[in-house]
Amino acid sequence: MLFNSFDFLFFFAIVFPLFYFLPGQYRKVLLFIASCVFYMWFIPYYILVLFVTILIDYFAAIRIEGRETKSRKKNMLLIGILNTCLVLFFFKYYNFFFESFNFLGLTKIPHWNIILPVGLSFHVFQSLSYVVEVYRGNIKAERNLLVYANYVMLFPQLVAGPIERAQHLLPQLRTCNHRISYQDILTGATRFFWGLFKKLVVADTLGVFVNNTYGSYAEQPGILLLLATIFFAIQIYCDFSGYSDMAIGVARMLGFRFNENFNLPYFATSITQFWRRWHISLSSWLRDYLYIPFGGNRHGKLAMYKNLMLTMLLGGLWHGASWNFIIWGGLHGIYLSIEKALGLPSLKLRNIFFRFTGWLITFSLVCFAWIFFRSPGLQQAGNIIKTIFSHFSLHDVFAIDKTELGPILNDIILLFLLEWFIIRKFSFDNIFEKKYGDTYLAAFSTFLILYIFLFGNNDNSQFIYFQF
Amino acid sequence: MLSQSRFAGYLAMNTKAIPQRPRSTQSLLFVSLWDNCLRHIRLDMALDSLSPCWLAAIFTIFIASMTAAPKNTWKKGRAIGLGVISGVFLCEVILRIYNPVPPAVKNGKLVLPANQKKTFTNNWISKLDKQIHYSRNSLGFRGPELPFNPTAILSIITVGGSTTECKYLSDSCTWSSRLYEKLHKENPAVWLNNAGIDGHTTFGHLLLIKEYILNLKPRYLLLMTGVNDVELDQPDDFDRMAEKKIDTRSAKLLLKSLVNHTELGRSFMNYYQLKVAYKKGLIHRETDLASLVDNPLKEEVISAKLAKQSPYLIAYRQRIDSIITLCQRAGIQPILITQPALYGNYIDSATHISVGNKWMAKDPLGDNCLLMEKVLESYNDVLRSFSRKTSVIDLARLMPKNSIYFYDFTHVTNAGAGKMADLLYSELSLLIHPVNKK
Repeated sequence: MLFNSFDFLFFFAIVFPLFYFLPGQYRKVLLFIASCVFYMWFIPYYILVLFVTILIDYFAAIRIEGRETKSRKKNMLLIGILNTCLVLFFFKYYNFFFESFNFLGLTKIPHWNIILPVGLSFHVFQSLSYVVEVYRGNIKAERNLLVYANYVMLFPQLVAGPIERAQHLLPQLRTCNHRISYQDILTGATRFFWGLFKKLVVADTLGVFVNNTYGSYAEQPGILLLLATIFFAIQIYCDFSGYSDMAIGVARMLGFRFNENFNLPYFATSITQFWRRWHISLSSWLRDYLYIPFGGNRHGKLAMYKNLMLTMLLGGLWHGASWNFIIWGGLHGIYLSIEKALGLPSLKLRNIFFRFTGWLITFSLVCFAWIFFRSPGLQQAGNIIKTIFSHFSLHDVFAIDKTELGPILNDIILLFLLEWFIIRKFSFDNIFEKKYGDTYLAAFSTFLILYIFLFGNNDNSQFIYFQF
Repeated sequence: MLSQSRFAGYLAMNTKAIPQRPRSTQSLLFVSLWDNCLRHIRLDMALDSLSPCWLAAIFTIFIASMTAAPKNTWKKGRAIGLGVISGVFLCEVILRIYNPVPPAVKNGKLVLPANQKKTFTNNWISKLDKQIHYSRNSLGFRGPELPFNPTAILSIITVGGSTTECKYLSDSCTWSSRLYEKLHKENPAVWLNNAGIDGHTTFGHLLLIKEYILNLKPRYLLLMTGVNDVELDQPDDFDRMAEKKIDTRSAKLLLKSLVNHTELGRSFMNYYQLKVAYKKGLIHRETDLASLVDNPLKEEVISAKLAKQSPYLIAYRQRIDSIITLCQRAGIQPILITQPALYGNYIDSATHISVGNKWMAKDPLGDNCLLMEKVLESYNDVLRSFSRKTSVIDLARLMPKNSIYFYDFTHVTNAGAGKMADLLYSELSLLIHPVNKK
């Protein structure tokens, strides 16, 4: 079920009042049923895959806690991780690896036609973080299977995150008898509509242009491909952060608090800062469960660069079984290593000129990497880059249909103004706590609803990050 | 991901078997907003089936937020109410600065979508090209730009609804474009533009002629009309609202005309008209004759339906007469073209299906193809009756009834457009004065 579908509105219109009025014990059951329905809306029998990962990690965590020695705990942890990763490998990387082996002549295994279960990477990562945290002794293994199942499959974050940590979410799910306040509902609803606006109005409008341009890249001049790349950068941000906003908003309306997943990443003035603001739940996951266990920056600079590269390459691979994503991750690894080598992350850019230069370089590098992310293949990405640099003429910009470009620019400007003057300065909770805060939030929500209603692309288009 | 193709897929899945239905009394002046049509109709389609969900969700949130604030409920309600009003006002201000969907009619004037160029993917009409290249020139018409000295050359403008505009055919494939190619080959000093606007009736044609075409003074005006005027005797409330007057005839109309004075209200009106257009089957979709059911009608039903047309035909005749008079006074030679269609009682040679009794299964009381042919012919007869006053090309009779030429009952495929251009070219060769041709 998609947040931007009428199915979801219908679903939530039933779940929300039930959840609101039910006592804690029944709320847990309701959440479980609702999450199952939500997930089964895509491909029903894939719920079994979800149950398998839940059961593996549920029992693995209990066993880890039950073992007395460190080595036994570690063995159980490895069993848990391997089993969970096997599910991920089986559905996501099987074809990629065996096709690569076939290409090298090592194997002759045929392609396997299978659809990736929606959001598999997200809930696998969430499960893994749980067993690792139990192993590290940061949390206790959850004995109530229903609570643990709700932790993995809580419907607002089930298919595209944020990847919540057990320390943060499990305590909220254990009792489930919290009071849903006026502030929860108003700030949650506003957050939901803000996400819906980013997705339906901005991302989907830009998506039409990006898809048309990238779809016929061989016929497009350099400047159009450049514009499409910039628009894709904005599209993917609005698409994914819009989903996160909706997830956070829906959870908040139910009285749960999720961690922030985006913090205006395109206002970053360095790549390091960008990764502290972009998909925060994933980047912190990669830091805590890959980069630091690899050694982090503890064994000298060269080891740090190697760890950075390895982490970012795996981060790229997490996005999809394709060389494009690996190169995308690799590019970010190189950017981060260069920044570390130059000591840029520790610089504090106070001068507006340096800040602007930093922002421009960061945004350009991020956009360059997005070309690999968006292109259907490596060769196409190469051709697009070649065209951008070799067939660049400002004159070609006049060939764009004004009626198409007008709404796109309007949406981008509107997004920028709202983010710069409102979202950058205040959280919705800050606004609520001000005098007449509820009136401001109601006004903002009304504006968003009207704008979505009139200019949103409601075609139930998928979220880009669902494929991961 | 690909919004348009998903929309197309949705259409293909849900609407393939539904035949195009000629419209009855409704606003047809500006139901077509091509540049925004796709994105809006998608929302419209969704709302068609599940509109109560929006209300239910918002209502639930509102009620819950009220109950969540047991203290000062009235105060909170007032605060939210004030917020809602402020939000509406904020939206109005922003739309006044820039409205991404400019209305097709503003301040009583048609707004033509000028300088458009787009390529879109067609996934829902299998008989048409996959990639459709659509453009409109600086005048807002399809075809070449206006030459430097238009009076010195043979200038022709085609006027009509969707069957003239051919919006699902690429620029080079419309019948107007192919006709232009043929005329241009014979005489390079010719200029032909396609001023067809999807959904336009003769009310819209009159407005278009008055506001745009009289100023351009083309030598010939080719008018293909009929199907959009079926059972239309007067513009409805929405058409009147285009006149930008405060309508005081009733409280409802007063409210509507006041709403029409706001950018937000106008945007909602556009949206509503598209919803109406969708409900009335004015959206282009492919007709699969094999999937249609037979619905034989009794003679009394047919007679009653035809008798019902009388007042509409009188009004239609008056509008056509006004157009002819208007053009002739301005020195423009109007040439009327009867409306070809796939309706009729015959066996389709492409599919070997007997078409006469075919109609959609969802509507057992609906009109079948035999009756629709008779109804449409009564409107074509009106055009034929003007043959003494001006030239008439009876394309309805010349055009072969074959489903390879049509993707629904009235709109032509690439092959159909080519056939129409051939037929029109040979007829025009007889009508256009030899001096003019040179």
